[in-house]
Amino acid sequence: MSQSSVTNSNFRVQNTERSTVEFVEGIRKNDQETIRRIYKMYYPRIKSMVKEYRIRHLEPQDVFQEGLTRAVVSIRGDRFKGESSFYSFLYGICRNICLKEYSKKSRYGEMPDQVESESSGNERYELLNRVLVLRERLDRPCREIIDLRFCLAQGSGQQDKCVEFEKIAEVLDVRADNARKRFQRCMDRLREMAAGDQELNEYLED
Amino acid sequence: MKKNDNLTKEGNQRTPLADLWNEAVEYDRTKAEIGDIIGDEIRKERIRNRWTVYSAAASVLVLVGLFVIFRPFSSGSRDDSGASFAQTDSTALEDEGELLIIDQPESREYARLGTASESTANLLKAPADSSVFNPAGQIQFQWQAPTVASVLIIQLHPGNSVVFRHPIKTGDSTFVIEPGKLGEGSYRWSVYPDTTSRMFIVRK
Repeated sequence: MSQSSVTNSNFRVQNTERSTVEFVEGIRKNDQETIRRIYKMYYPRIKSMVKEYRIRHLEPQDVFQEGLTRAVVSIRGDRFKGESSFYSFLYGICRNICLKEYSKKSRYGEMPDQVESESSGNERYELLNRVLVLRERLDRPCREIIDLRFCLAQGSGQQDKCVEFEKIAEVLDVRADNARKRFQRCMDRLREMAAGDQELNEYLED
Repeated sequence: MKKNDNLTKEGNQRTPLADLWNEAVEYDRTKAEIGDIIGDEIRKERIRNRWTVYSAAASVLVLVGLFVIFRPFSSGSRDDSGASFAQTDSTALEDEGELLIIDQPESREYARLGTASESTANLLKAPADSSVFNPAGQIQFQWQAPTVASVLIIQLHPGNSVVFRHPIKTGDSTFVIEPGKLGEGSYRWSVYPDTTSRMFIVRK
């Protein structure tokens, strides 16, 4: 290998590392410009990869959105350890999404092995999607009170501590015991719905 | 006390569900945010592409406009013989030997010169205007020997495609086209840079 190619290769590696660090920092700071840059830089390549699978209903844009969401959630949840570049991480996630779809369609034959990397974790996201489906099936007041109790109200900023019923009551303009009763009623409904979902139930029992 | 125990139990049981709920909602929000940003980028891209298409279309329109505007000026002042030289196209007779499809710039220049006077009309001696030749026979061209390097040009008429070009040395005054070189049709011949031309016909 010539000296110049070694230099080029080093430069590329340094560049990749630098963009990975920049992307991770930007994502942690919730910087929208970072997402735009990631889209501009990597969407064409992900699009080509998705198209190679030739699955009619699989839209590259949807795969990219889902993959990037998972990447962002992983980074914010400190599950990205930086063992690979950001691009490899994102690519791996998107590829796993495609492989999952590929395996659903038995006519496409055997499913190739999933990428074993930081990007694994399809099951977790499927579980989250199930929870979201259940959430959608709840009525709005129930969603609202559970969100509040689980500290998800917009701007609550208290991820480690649940909101007291007294405060929830203030927000909803009801009495505290009414808020508690409503929450318990909604939780019962949620548990009832979750009981009908085997995998979700298993997860909650563990 | 019993109530507190129940609450603690409820709290413990709720933890995995709360975690999952929180994570799911966070994931949903993130996905929506990313979806918005991607949607925004796609919209911008479409607008950019639209502008590219509009710019290209506008450029074509401008070019067509310029062509339409300037074309009458270049052809309007010509006499009949001159006009024919400007309207060259590349669909000429088949190339065979010296028979060539000639590029237009020169013939355009020639067309401009075509507005010149008839004072040099007697420069072209043969074939005379409207002479008729058999395709199986040879055609002899004769002109007054030029004092500068010139080019014998034959154009198809109508259409004005240049079908033949032959450089003429100073002092040369004749050239013969071999039988079968020119197909049936009407032709116009001239000696560049002189501006006059003569018609002749090839038919059986």
